[in-house]
Amino acid sequence: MRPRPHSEEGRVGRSREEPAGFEEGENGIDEGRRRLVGAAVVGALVLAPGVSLIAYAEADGRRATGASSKRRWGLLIDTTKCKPSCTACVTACSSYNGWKNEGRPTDPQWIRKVQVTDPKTGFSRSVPVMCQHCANAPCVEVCPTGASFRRADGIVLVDRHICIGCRFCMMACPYKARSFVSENLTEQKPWAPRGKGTVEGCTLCVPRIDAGKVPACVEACAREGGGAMTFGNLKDPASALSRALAEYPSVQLRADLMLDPGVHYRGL
Amino acid sequence: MCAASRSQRGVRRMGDRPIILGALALLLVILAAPFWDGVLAHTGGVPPAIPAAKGAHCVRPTRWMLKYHMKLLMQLRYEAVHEGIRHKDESLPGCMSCHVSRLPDGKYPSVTSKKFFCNACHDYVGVRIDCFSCHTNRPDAAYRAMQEASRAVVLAHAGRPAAIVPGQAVSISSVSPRTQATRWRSRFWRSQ
Repeated sequence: MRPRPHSEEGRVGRSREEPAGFEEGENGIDEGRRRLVGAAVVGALVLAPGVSLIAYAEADGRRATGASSKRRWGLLIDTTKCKPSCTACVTACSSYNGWKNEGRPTDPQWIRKVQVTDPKTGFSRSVPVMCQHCANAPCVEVCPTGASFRRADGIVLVDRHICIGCRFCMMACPYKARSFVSENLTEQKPWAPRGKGTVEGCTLCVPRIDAGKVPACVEACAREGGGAMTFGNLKDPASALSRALAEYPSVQLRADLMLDPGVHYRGL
Repeated sequence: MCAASRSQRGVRRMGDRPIILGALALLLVILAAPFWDGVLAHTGGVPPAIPAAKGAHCVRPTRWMLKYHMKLLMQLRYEAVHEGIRHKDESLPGCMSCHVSRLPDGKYPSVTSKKFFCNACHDYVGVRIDCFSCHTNRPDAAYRAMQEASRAVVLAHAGRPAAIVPGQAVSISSVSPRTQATRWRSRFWRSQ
């Protein structure tokens, strides 16, 4: 890249157009790149041991490309079907991801049942609350290392390899969705590594999603609970989730915060 | 008297020469230690005994893995965590399912034991890893079943070599999460 004249740098509100000479340079690079990409594609087709596998992977869509911004995973929780006594979702999450809550204040709670009551009317509902997988997640904004991040398909995760355990995200989250591991752990699940000194929270069962399955809580709710949870792609208008959202009124928790959570509740 | 002492000194000087040359040669050998180390490493030297693995072959040629397994692991880690690309067999639990087996007493070796696969070399080269305070350090039947059930997809993913020839230089483009985080932050501040 040719250096830009000094006077042109740092000017606020300037259009993205560059001087003519710069454009030429860019085209030159682009052509080179195009040739290189072409060669790479041909090379890949010749070298790849199973072209049919790649085609298959593309058809499958999820495993080949990983998380894609063409999807946004979300949940609809029908609180009218959620029984106060039922904790199937919590138990399923705990056993799949290998965390235990023994009631101590520092114990993890990836998902919990919350009894919400309107003090004026006495109207009360029991709702599961977990990471709401916000579009504008405050935990991501406050993270000083980039460990708290939002995947292309909208799942908010902690990369525990780079989490320093500062717990800013726990303070930033209005849903109290994250917890901190303060003790050494053993016998973690191979698909859900967890460890001391890092923050964790609902992953929407990301290994299951990547394998084409629904989250453990949704499965358990359908099997043992009232079938109150619908999982799906918010960006696909034909998905069961989008159709249900279009048909009935639903709310996001603390919608006033404009975080655009991926979890919607009906009947609150 | 004076002449005699001069001649004595002269004799002594002649006798010093092999000592000095010997010392110089020794110094050269010492200075070339990294070179000899490399030569020894490639011609055998004293390699640690690596515990045998199950399965016909590794996910990459063994000699390549000896040198670059850490790069592969970092790449797989980045792809799995951030991009959601999970490869069949190519994962840390996948490594465990082939490279860790029960000891004669029926137990799996502990992560601190010399019999644990990673430690065989890491103790030898003085590398300390912290993978297993979070990750599993033994084969897991449930994980295996999950892997088998999920359909195998071989990927020709950008940045990963399609074929690796032993003895040939291989470059893996691996962006460390720290670099990635810095990029994200700078992108974020630019957008403000």
